[in-house]
Amino acid sequence: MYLSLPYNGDLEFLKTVKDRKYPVKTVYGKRFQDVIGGGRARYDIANYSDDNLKQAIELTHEIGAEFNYLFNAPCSANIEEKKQKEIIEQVKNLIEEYKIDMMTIANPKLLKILKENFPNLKFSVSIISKVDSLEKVLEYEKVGATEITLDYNIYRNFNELKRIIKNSSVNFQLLANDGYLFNCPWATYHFQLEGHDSQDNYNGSLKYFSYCRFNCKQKSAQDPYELIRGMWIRPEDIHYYEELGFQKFKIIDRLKETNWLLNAVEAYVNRQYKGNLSDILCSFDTFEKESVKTPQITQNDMKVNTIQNLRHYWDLKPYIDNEKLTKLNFLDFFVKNKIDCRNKKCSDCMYCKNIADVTVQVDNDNANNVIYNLDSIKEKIIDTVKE
Amino acid sequence: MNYFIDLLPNKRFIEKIININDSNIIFNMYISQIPTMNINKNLYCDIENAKDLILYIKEKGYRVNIMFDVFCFGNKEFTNKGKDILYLLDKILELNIDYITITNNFFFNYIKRRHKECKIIMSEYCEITNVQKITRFLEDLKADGVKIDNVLAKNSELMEYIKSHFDADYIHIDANKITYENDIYKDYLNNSMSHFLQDGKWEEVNKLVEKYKKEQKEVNNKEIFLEDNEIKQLVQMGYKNFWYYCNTEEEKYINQLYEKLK
Repeated sequence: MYLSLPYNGDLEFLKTVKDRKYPVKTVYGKRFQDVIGGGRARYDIANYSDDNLKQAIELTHEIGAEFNYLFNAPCSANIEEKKQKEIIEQVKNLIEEYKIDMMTIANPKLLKILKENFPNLKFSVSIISKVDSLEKVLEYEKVGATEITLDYNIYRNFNELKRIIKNSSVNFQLLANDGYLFNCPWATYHFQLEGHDSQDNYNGSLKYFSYCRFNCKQKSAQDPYELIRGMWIRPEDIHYYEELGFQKFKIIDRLKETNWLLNAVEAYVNRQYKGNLSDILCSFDTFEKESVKTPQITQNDMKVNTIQNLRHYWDLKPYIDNEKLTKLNFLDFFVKNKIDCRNKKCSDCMYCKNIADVTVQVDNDNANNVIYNLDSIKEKIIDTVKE
Repeated sequence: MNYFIDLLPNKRFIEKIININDSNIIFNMYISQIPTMNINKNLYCDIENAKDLILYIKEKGYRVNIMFDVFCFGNKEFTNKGKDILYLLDKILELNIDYITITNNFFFNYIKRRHKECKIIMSEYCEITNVQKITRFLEDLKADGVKIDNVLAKNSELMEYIKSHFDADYIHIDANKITYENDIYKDYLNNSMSHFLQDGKWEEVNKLVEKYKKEQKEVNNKEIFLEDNEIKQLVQMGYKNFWYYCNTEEEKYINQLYEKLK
């Protein structure tokens, strides 16, 4: 097992990774803003300096890992054509001055352009590209991908995973700890919003807020079994994927603080986590904060705060009993039955629902408050746009 | 049967279509100020002309579907541009509009909250390629329709499964559109088209689409479209909503529709 770890702007994180000799193959990150953008909005990430990034890349090399620069916004509003010269200059600068080793790309057109101009640079295809079949893998191979992060919606489809790895020669990476919504209806829209916000030319008059997350938080509050349906990979289940031939696992998120990240990385390195699985899934904020209740929002809260400062009003704080999941051999069901969850209704199976009933706990008051608060916040956003 | 027909914005066209088949026609309306993904410039009319045509269609007893299926809006929904669109939507939807076809999460929430009487169809740009996506839109988000991907519509076994698990009235099918299977360039194409169309760059968008089609041919990517017998089979299964896009000039389109709808 090798890990791909985020650069969160804190050099102490990478220094600790180095000291603890974690099996790291890649560190990924980017400048605060650039011509193409990435998968995280500016508002969400720490505003670190370019010099800090250069130091992070140096540290990455000292660890013996490669630095993977994120250039993976899905939409560039056609600048890959209009500003090709500027893009190539930026990449040249990133290679020569910053010493990056690899780039993550979501736009195949951009990948083609950059591959032609930088044939020795390694290219990793982003999860944003939704590569969920062998046929798409082979297409990306032709365009010049060195590595592909497969779409998480197939992580419990062991037939397709096997078909992919047996019939292709590219390297793969799996995203381990995203507590996302399975087959999220707004995933593409979410990536577009985040991507545009992280681009140099973005000058929206409202600051970005993670609008799409409201839906998944509300949905999870309504139906806690969504927390089991999301196709995260538990530290204890890594071996199933290794047995198929997958060696590299990506831990997110760049938005998380060092303590949170170290806790998650430690879990994957040790291949076990005792306690609440949501502590190490990036969509939640339970690590060291489980007992804090989510309050109900008031009109005054919304009047005096910006949307960005209301985050704690949509914290669900679930408890997912990871040890119980281990005792129940949670993933065996998918490994043995070779199910493609994409084309089956959950009501025909109920496995995740039954598992959730015995492993997931969500405080009712918290859940109701999250649903109520997000309804109120969505109304406020409409009013703000209409003002 | 419901036929969703692209409206060429003149009353003569409406008359001709009604004469072919006076059953369940729904006119897809393209308004210049509301971004869509259609590259046929002749389909667009301005907001004043749109109001006039809506009243005419309504007077004749037919239904209207406002197209608002832009794939990427470039985060403008949270700016003054978003405010302008909401204003336009308010003006249009108060004319007793039957359907709106959309892609965007923010506008979905807006219409659900402020225009409950208008039915929302999720466009093909929502990438409804599997059963779980249908569930997400119809059951979780309570959309009133989903336009499914051709990959699904061609899979008769899955379509039987879908029929047995969802109300077929909510499933919409493209009867004359070509897509490509396992196409890694699809999002790139849709993003690029979105921005060219919003910038009014018709020449660029046409070049882009031509180049894309040529490239798909060169790599032998399989074209996915429904044959007539497949449409018949879907009708037999109980599916009712079929869309006929206008990808040609008015007279040819009318002739095509005559063949399909008579």
